[in-house]
Amino acid sequence: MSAVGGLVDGFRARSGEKTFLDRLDDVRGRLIASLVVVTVTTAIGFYLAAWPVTLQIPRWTFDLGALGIRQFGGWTISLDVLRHFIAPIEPYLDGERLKYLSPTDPFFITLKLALCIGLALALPYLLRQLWATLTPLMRPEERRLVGPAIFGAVGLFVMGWLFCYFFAIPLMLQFTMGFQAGSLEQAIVIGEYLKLVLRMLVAFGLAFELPIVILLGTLLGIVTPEFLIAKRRHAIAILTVVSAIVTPPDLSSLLLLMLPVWFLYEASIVLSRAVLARRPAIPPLPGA
Amino acid sequence: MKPFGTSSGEMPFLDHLEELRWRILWSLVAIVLFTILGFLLVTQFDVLGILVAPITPFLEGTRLKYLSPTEPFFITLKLALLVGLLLAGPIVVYQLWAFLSPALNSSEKRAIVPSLYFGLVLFMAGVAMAYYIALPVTLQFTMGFQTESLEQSIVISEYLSVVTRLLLAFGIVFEMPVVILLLTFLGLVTPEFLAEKRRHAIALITVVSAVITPGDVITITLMMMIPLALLYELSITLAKLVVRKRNAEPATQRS
Repeated sequence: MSAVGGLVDGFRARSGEKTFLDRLDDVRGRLIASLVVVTVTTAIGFYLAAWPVTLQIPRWTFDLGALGIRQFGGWTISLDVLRHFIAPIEPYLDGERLKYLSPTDPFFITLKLALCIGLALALPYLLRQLWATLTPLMRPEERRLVGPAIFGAVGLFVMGWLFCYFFAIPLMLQFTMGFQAGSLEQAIVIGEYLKLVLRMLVAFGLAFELPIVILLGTLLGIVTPEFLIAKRRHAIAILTVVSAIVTPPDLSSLLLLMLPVWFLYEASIVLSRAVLARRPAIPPLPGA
Repeated sequence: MKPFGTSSGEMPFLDHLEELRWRILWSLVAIVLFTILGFLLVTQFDVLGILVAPITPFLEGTRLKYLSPTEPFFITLKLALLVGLLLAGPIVVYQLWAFLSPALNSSEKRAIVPSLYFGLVLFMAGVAMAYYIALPVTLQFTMGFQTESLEQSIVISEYLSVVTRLLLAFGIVFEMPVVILLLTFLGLVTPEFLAEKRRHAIALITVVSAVITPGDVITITLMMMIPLALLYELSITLAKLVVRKRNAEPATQRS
């Protein structure tokens, strides 16, 4: 706890060059700029969601002499976001399409997708703003951690998404829709399905951030690898409970989230040991 | 402000309460009776068909769906209540009027009775505008998205909630001239004030239209906004008439 207290004291001490109100003014400016950017990217997102574009990457052929002839490109990339969302459930639909129940649904679904695309497009800018807000309050040795942490965080988030999209969602659908196949017929509604998928994606993306949290914790001296090993059983219990809360209420998605995150927990213990062996943890501020 | 009830002779306060009780009771009886009549009407005639008509072209030959086995009955009940409220409306309004009118002086009475009729006409104009123009355009707009990935399977309850919201919203905002006229009559606003604040009023109308109409960006908002702006101009003209008429009346009647 003393380390956290030290950080807070450090914020106060180091923000001395600028007054508190100046900082608040900065933050307000950054918030407004972020809102403007999100609005613009959401407008772009609406265009993309409503009138999907298919990109044709032309095929390039290179004659590399001794290395032979190499081909590159020739792909078709569909930017139809809704299609990509629907793809995991497509095999279960018996050739039908997902349904909507309210006449206003298609528009509002498109709007929701537009917001998702807009946030995703604006994410680098938003992170940049967050960084610019936080860096003046940090010591140089802390500041050096921020860049790698952001890259790692984005990378892990994307990994969580990919794992969820290509592995967890198909498995979960196979599990939940495998019951009562003889008595019931699917008539799946887009609103329900999208809610499920978005919830899974966010849960996996956030849960995969665990190594970053642990690494930053060890580097700042808040936790040690030994502590993490000693408390492993508590950690697994907490992981299970949190997984049960964030995933939709079926057993399969809980296991699908808990097991990889447990693996990430173990991996981050090994990783933080390796990092600590190379450089010691940043000591808390003197006087904290 | 005059004491309550003096213009109707000397009726004590408790008698007014007693009268109010009976007027509420009669209104409720009227609503119940007309709801029963409405139930008969809804089961005999195709009332639902009228409400469903705007969406039929978009259903590709299928019918609207229901998701729960009790829904057909409750939808009928809801419609019966709606028909009952509509039919009992004049009686309820009359009861309200009969209760309030002793408290009003004759020039106020002369202003309120026409504005009730005017309000009714405007409400129907708003509902008709919503039913014949705004609703089809809304459906065409919102259902024009994602036609390749999604399939319609529209449910009666969702559809009815969209329809009632749209019809009521148009009906209610079309009452604006009545409100302005009554305010003018009471001397709370003047035609000059209304004309001067026109730009504020139009901004306000735009915001209200954008909020009330379902999620569209431009078309439906415009569909509500333009008639409202025209109605605003109409009410300025009418307010001028009210003021001219009031000035022509002998001053003794007002004070």
